[in-house]
Amino acid sequence: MMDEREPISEDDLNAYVDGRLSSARQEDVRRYLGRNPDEAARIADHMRHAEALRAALAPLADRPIPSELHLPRLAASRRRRSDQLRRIAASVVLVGAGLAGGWFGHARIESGTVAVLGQETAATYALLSQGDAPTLTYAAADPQALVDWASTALRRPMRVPDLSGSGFRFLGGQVVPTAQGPAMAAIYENEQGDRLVFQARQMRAPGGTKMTPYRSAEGGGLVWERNDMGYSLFGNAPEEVSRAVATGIQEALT
Amino acid sequence: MQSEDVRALAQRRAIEPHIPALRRYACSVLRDAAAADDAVQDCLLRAIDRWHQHRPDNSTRAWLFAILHSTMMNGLRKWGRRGIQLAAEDPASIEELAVPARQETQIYQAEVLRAVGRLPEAQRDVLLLVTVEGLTYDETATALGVPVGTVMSRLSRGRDHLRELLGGRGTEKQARVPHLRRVK
Repeated sequence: MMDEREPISEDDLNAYVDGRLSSARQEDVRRYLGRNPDEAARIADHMRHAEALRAALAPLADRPIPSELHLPRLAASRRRRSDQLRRIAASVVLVGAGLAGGWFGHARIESGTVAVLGQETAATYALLSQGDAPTLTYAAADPQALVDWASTALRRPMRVPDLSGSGFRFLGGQVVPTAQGPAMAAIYENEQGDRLVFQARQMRAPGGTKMTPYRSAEGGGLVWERNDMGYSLFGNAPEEVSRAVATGIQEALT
Repeated sequence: MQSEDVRALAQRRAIEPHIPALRRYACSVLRDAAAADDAVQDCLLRAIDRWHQHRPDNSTRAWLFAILHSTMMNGLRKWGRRGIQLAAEDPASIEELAVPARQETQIYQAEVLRAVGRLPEAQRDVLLLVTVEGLTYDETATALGVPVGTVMSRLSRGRDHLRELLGGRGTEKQARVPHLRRVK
């Protein structure tokens, strides 16, 4: 009775078509439609269309589920994938000794600074990944040689990640010049031919540890800061692999 | 490991019943059964990855449709263009899949289906979710990431628009041979 005094709205009419009104309100709408033949015709059409649409599409929900959509199978493949990524992350070990500088605590990551390191790493990747011999001629052939070279150039004990546990072989490395001072760069390759460049240099602004993804035309990478050092991993490996490797390096450097 | 199994079972029980509806919706939107199943597979993988983010007291159905919707929106390039143009260019696939048009009723159903394919995407999505999939207005709002008021106005406009496309009246006897309208 209270409802009846409330004017019928377009929302009421839609809910009527969809059968979602209380029975009292449904009666109100029926009476309203009885008084308004044009509206009644419109609503009758809406109901007919809805019914035709449901009938037309009903068979689509009645098809047997193909095995590609079998949920336990999808879940199992997902578990294998995440186990694999966990193993990659856990397999990173470091060559070289010593600790990086003091811990300056969390600070806001200055995006500009981090972006510059990302660009530098992408540039190193562009140079080192074209090639074989010519660009790596002057590079350190083994990780320990790179550790020595980089520790001297950066005037601090440097460490080189060993990624062989995740299938990435150390191809070589070198110290590269940047506007912010020398940086250590190491390049890795796996059996699929994916290449990753790891680059580290001192950061002016002491930053936090948040990992930030970035992209360029040639691939994607992640950059993060720890203490007063900036680290970046860039390459053409799938994003989740790069992320797992970067996470592993980040943890190993802690 | 046992809790892992229990979790997997709960996940399976919550998600699996919705797979037929997800496939139908994807197929209605993309108008291509294979592309639709690709989208649903991506949707299910994302749902598995993000299962821990799903609150048990929220509608699993709305959550899954929301993932499917964003999967299809992000997959435009991969799955081809959605909507009116695709429907006009290739009107056969889904109608054949859905209703083999033999009897008069089925011819009429196919006509309604074609008209729905010519609706603006926003109206069509709401109409399909509410009318065919039976989502509540709130669930539809969640699935499409819009306020419920927007759902109601799209539903209203979509229904009137559909009526207009079908020639004002929608009785079987008056069903006219569908014409493909120019797409703007």
